[in-house]
Amino acid sequence: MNTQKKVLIVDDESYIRLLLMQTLERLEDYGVEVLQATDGPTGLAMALKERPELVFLDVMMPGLDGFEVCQQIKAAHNHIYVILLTSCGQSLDKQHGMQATADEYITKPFDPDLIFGRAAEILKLEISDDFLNPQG
Amino acid sequence: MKMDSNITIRQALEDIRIAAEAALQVSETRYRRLFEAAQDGILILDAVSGQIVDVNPFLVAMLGYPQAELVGKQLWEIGAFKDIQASKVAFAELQSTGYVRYESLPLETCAGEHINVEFVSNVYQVDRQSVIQCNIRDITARKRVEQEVEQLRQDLEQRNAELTALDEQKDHFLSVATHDLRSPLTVIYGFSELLFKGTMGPLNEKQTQSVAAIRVSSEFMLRLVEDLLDIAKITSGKVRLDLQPLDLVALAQRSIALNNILAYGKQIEITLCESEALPDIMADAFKLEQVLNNLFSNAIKFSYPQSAVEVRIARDGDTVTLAVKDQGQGIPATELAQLFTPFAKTSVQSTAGERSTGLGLAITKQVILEHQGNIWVESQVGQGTTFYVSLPIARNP
Repeated sequence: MNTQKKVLIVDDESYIRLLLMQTLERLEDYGVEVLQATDGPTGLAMALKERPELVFLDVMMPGLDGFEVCQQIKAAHNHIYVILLTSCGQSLDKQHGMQATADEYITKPFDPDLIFGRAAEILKLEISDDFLNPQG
Repeated sequence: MKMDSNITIRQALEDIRIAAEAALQVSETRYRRLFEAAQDGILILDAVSGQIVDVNPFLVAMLGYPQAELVGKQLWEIGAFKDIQASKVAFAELQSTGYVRYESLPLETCAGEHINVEFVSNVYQVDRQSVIQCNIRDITARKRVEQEVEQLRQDLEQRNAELTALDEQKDHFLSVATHDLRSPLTVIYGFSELLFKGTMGPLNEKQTQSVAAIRVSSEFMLRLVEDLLDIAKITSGKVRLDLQPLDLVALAQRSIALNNILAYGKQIEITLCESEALPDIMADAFKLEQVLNNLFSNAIKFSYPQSAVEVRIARDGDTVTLAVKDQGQGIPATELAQLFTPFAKTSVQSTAGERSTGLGLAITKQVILEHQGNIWVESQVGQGTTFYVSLPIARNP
């Protein structure tokens, strides 16, 4: 049985995916596989098949949006930790996000360190301080 | 003696008759004058035949027919009451009920002009004969005004619909703009952050400086986008507050802790002075956080390095007031009034080149006003500035 930890990134914008990939690829040093999907349906299928520990999920996507994907992931595998990423930092969206049973909500623009830090914490990784502050 | 008394009685009866006739004459004259001088049209019909018995001058003038052409005719023989069938029906109704009333009846005058009249008829008895009195008031002018008002109402309704559509368009534009601006800015900011922190390997000094400039600029642009959206939302009344009882001291402590991280670079410390136990205030946590953050970050921005910012929270009647006092340059009295208007420029400069969107205090004021609270400022050039915010306390359930 494959016990490798997985993180899934779902965002329709390629540069945001690249940013998230480059932010999270350091997790690979800790044996974490970082996966990506370019739209809602693909992301949902990947989440159901790969069962990652953590999903970073964009809200505004054409077709199947993040709220719907989140709901379906949670309905199938409630233990998968879902963090919604959205451009609309409004409290209404927040409520909607919570209704969609997401675990967390991070607004764009995000601090890459925050993304990395949350991922390390949720995956229960021991990250050295040197790693977090390469220049310090 | 008997003769005498008979004569006296006859004489008395004669006197009474003369007096009665005189009274009748007076009454007749009085009503004739009313009839002649009335500023409404009056038409007297024979209740049985429907023949016109009398027409007052006002109606003659209104309809334009000579009086001779009207008297003796039946109502529906006159051009003005052209709709014979309707006139007959109305007349039949009048005969049976003794009363008809039309709020607005279209008539055509002799000259072919279309007028609108209010038409009220009653049947009553005169000398054991039934007569019908029709009172006819020309309401053409009133009708025209009503139509104009109705037209204006429709125009306004249409204008309102157009404005609502424009407003929706604006909202849509704003939401698209936020999303479309935020996405690329997220990429710019995120990568500059990764580069700046050396996540992708070390940078030389020039590279670090360049990336820092990108990072700071994108951050400022993001703040501008957020602030513009905020002010647009506030001015269009689209802010919905999620009011709940909150502990202002706890909120202030959290915001101060965050801002002290920023203040650290300028060796400024924000301190919260000890206060008595305070009641909760009614506020929207998210919005209030924004307000506090704005006040504290402003205080840092306009404070000299190595100075102190003091925060006091105290009860003031039905409100709790928070005061943020800095030891900065102070604001000239002439500039205080415009401080809370969007993009107001003051002569006060930030002490370390920090930039302002010019919207922070305008947003803050609007948010506080939405809370039924109050915001004001006291300042002395060379001494410093104190911003006050008061918010209503939460009523016990």
